[in-house]
Amino acid sequence: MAWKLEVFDGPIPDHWEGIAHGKKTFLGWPQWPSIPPPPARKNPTSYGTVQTSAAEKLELVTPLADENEVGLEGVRLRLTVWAYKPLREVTATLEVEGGRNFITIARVDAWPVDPHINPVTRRKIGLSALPSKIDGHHVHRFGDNAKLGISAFAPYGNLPIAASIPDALHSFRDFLRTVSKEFRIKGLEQLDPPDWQVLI
Amino acid sequence: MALFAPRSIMIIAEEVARALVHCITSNETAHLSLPLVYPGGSMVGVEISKLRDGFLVSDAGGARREAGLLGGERAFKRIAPEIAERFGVRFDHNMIFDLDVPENDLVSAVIAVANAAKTAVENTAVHLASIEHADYRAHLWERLERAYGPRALAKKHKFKGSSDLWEFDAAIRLPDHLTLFELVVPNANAVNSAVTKFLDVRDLGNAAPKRVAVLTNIKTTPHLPVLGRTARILAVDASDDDYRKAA
Repeated sequence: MAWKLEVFDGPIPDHWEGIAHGKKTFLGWPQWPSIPPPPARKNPTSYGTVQTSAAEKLELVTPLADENEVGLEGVRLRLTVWAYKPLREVTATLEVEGGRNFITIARVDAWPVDPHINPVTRRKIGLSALPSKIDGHHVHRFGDNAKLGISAFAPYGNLPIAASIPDALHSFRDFLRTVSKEFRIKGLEQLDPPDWQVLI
Repeated sequence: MALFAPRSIMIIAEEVARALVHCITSNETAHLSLPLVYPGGSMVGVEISKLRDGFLVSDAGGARREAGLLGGERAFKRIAPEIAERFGVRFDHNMIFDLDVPENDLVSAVIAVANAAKTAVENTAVHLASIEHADYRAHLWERLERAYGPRALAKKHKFKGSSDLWEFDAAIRLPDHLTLFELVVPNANAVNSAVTKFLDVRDLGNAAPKRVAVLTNIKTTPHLPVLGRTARILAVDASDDDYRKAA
């Protein structure tokens, strides 16, 4: 029988570090999905009928390739944004195939609304220089989280260690530049931004 | 004499209390970051919006977004309604919320929405791990079948303990006795759940069947001594010989 659960047992798979730190490119020219139309107006104060189009998300997922543009099997980049909230909680995740799902091995969070809290265990694994609280752009690096072991990559871990991003980010292109640098994905900054709308 | 008197614990505590909640306001909406964290370390956020009558308190879709980052958005949508109900709030397909909240109920509404959001994401993470639990269970059944034969094996066996009816991952029925097997993954919730089942069965006294906790990772399983007092411990990757001795 195929043995599935080792992915969160034992050591971190060797190839993850290579994926995280190796030079990469993206395949094709990924396009953002179209924004779902706002729902027809209802009485906003009727219990249980709250309008929620403000919480609609958009995701762009693209497979990645190595620096020679040879596809990396089961490696992808995912960008997640709010459809109606430009430049607010914009996230990029570097994901690898594992078990039945994809596992996030690095993440960049830009314009977060809520601060990030680093776990107290960071002090025991040589990351005491990282702040306990980050109120602003931050990156969950593979190398930092790997110091916690495989549990940092499990769903209940979800990359708990993050570091501040010192760069000032003023635009979606700035965000893509940062992701390109952190994830080592060449040419990423040329992707188009989503066709953000603003709810009135 | 010291030039500066040491700061009192009250002043320090007040500073900590102020830092525990973070607040941003714009127009008729306020966003509170509360001292609860999602898996991954983001503080749980709750929005308060002024409506014509009362307030809307919601997670603004934050819990669903966090679950999506875990790869568990579909599972979250199944889990969240029940969790929201438990906390006395509601869930539509995007948000956990409470509507028409009077001003003097805002504190309890914010606490309810925040805890529902955090719990729903945490339960989604546990669910994602338990999907893989199914793989272990298939493996356990295969090993038990090999050791005892298909006729002795009962999959997902229901057994009435001293107080409640429980489902165990497997049971082996031999001519003179029954043995119950329960898989335990290395987290506190899984151990607590197994201990509860085993204790209730043990309370049957002499009529209690044998009990085996099958651990997917002995090294990282918490509360092992407690588990070991209620059941025999077996590693899921133990030898066929160990499996044969277990029942």
